[in-house]
Amino acid sequence: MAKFSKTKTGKDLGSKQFFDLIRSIGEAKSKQEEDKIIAREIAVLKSKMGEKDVDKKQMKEYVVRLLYCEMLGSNAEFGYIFCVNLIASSDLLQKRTGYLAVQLTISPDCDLLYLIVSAIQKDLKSTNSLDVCCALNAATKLINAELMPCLIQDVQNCLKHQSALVRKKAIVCIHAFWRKDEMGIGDNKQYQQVLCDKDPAVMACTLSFLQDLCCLNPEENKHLVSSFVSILRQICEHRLTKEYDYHRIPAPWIQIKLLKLLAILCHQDVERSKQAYIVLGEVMKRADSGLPIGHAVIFECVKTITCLVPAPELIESAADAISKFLSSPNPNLKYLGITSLSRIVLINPIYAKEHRDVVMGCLEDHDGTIKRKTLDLLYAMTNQDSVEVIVARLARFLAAAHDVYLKSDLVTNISDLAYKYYPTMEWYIQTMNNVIKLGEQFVDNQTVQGMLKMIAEGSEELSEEENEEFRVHAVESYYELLDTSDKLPETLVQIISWVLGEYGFMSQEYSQDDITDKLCDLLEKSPDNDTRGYIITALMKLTAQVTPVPDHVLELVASFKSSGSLALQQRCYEFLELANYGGLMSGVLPLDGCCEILEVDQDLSFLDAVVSSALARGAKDYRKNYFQTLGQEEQVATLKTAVYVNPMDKTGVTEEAAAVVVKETELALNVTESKWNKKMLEPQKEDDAPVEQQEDYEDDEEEMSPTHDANNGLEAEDGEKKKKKKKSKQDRLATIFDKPAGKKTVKKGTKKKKTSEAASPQSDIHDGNGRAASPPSAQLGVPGLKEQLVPSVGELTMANFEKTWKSHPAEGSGALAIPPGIDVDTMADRIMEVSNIVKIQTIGTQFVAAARHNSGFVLCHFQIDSTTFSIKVRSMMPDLTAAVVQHLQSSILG
Amino acid sequence: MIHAVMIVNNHGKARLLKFYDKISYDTQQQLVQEVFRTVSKRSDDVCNFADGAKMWPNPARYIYRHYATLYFVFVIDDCESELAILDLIQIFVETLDRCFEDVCELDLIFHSDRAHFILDEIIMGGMVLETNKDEILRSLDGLAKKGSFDKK
Repeated sequence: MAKFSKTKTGKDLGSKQFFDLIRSIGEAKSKQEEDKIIAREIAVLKSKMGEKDVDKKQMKEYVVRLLYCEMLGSNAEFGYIFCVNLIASSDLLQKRTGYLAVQLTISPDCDLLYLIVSAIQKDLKSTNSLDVCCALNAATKLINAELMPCLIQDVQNCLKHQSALVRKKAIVCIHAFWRKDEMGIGDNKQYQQVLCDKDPAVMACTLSFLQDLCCLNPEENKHLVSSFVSILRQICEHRLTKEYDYHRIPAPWIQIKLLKLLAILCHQDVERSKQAYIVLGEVMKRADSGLPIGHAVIFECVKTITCLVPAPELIESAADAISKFLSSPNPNLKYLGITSLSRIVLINPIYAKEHRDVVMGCLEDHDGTIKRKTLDLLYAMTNQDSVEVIVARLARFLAAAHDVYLKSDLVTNISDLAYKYYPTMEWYIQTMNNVIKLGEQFVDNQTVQGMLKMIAEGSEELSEEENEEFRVHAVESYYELLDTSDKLPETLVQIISWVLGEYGFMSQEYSQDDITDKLCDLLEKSPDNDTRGYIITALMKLTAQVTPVPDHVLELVASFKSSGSLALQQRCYEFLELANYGGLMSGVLPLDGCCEILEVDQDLSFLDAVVSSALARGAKDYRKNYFQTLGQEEQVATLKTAVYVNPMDKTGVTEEAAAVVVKETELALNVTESKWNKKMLEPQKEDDAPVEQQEDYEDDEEEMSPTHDANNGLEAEDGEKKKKKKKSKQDRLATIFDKPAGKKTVKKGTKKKKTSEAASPQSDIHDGNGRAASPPSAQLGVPGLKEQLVPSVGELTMANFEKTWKSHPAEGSGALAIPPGIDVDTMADRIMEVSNIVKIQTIGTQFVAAARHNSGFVLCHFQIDSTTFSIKVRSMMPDLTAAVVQHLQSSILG
Repeated sequence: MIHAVMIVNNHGKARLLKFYDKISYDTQQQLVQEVFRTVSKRSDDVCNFADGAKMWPNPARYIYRHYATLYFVFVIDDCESELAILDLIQIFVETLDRCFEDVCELDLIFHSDRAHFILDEIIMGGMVLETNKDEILRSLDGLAKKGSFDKK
């Protein structure tokens, strides 16, 4: 057997230079030193390979040296062209080396590929079958979907080649083509013929291809079952020549492939499963040679048996085989045993019980792979009866685990099992608390949501009283947990805050004051902004029914007004503002309100009185300004989530702040039909927006709703970042507010904020569609203009659009007649198609759109008025504006 | 399918690399190191299979054998049989052994081209092409006769 001794004498070790290179690399003491040597070698190769009239044989050695350098991780792109040249050599070995080099180095999107393709084309037609083989090898690796049509015909011809080797490679090559482009090889059916090739080796190579085809579409290939069964029988009965034997097992690799195919095709098919039963039993019996390859075949049989419609006799023999595997001292067989047991327990859980002790023992195995497999198995084995034992065991295992992947899998498995099979809700919460303590970083948001949902909605099997009792239990046990533990994971603290905030009032044992104080302590101690957000919200809910809110709570919350986290700031301001209106606060945050279903007033009719009184006082109707109009309509649809969802979408909020927002939104929306989420917004509008203040708005801006400031600041920040300008926050705020649109009434200010944010995801969707759908550029219009414009996707939202509009001075407008009945989306798509100008937002029959240009943006406002389409454009340069208007006018209908 | 074949020595230096998926060059180098980290940590008395890292484009398993100074690692997906691949590695090594007459690590360095040719006769495009040693050698012999496969 090969010893792979380090040195050996009397062998051909290439040129002296190569030998020296290898030796010096071997002696290199550091990675830096090695890199230096390689860099030197690359320099040498660069000059040597570039010389004129390099001997082909010499060149071949250079190429091998080059491959060596590339393998060690350096880039030798300069040499690729020499590799390509070598392909054209008439010497087969040189040709082959050339092909090898391009396969190993050139990526399927390199320009040199075109040169290689023509060489492959030539060689596929060569009379020398070895040339053809080389070309097929290269085609398999290198040819992408785009180039396939150049070669497919030649490769198909190779399927009829007289040499079996060529036929074998041709079918593998076609398989590789298929993987890159399923449509690129014509009708798949024609390749089933290859199965009947007179050479069994060619037939064997077809099986992998058929396996992929069958996986994709089992129904269409069911007729092949009888062929596969018959081939398998013939192999099993030793009908193939001795050459196909491996360790006296006939063609084991082909047997394994056939078994896999049968598993796919006979799955849940009674008739076809029956066809396979007899031969399966036979294969299993004959493969039992005690050698590894025999075990491989048996293992495959077991897998297939578990996929077929169950046959008791076969399952029995499969179970026997599994027992043998499991009890074997050979770790490879143990691995197979565990893998196959996890399949058979799905059919009959009885086998799980039989082997449970052995399997539990495998958890202690020092082999990581076996441990992982065992976990999968335990996961499959668990049911209502065994969940407590198994989860306890897994939790113990989690406590001792170090491997990151292992821990993450464990946390997921335990959470899933506990959720699926929990015997009591107390047990579930207890288990999950434990899991969070042991592997907090692997607990995903969904799991946390699941826990909260469980507490909020209770179990269907229990009566409402029992569910309430359970909530009280949750509150009290969490309270005690806070008392007894010093340091809890942030995730757990968040859950605890939510539970105490939501259901704290239910507790008999602890008064509301106790719980409030506990939360205040927690807030003071908590280092994490996310968690602080949770706690403040909990405090808010808890104290909502208490008038007035205790001073010490307000003081504590006020101390976070200047927090670095904007989301946290927002929460504090909201709380403090609400606390001024005791009655309102208790209405907004009712007891146990998280499961109530919300009714959304789509028309915002509750605002009518405010609006009409404002109008009566002489305020302008904000519909007249189209930005305002945009704002109002859009608001209705997205009112509920806008403020929480959008800040992180587009405005570049810090991740930290965004996380809070998202978490909170999910909490409110996923777990429960949130009430307070919306309520948070509406009263604020009323509080902040008394119409009387209308005239003073400009002066009072700094005192306005913090939400407003913060978010507008962020939007602006986003816009600014894009322009690479730096201004202080103060300046930014000043510029934002120094615009007529924001000054109308305070109410509009707040509304507009939401709408502008709401605009972003929508515009994004449209952008995406527009771009995806656009065909090649239009012929009419100003030539080359479209190419100068780049679709502006996601850069502009309604909020910064308005501002950007003002910063682009050159305005132009135009109009054209259109047939009646054209809608906005059609127009928007058409405009995208001819000019790369992308719609940002629609409002009624108007829409705004933008594209990026070297000089800045090109901003457009369009309106459809039955048969007139009016265009308004702004950009940085009058010429550009004029060109865009002209281009649009001439090309939209063209 | 087989995603990749690697031969790495005990110090983590690659001796032969073959990727059957389209994987960027830098990722390839990272994957080699990842594979080496995984298999070199495993003692000789554990099973020859290890779960692949999540950085592979598809779920992957490493099937490997450790000979004196070299690790032979085949990276496979769910469609291949672990134990059969283990024997395939054996076939690859035995063929190398026959071709180089008692193969050693240096042979693989100086004649990486030849090692690649052998591998190309066993696996093509990630699929098992041939498992019979004589047949593999015969197609290489063809090369020797027609071309100048410098047999010693």
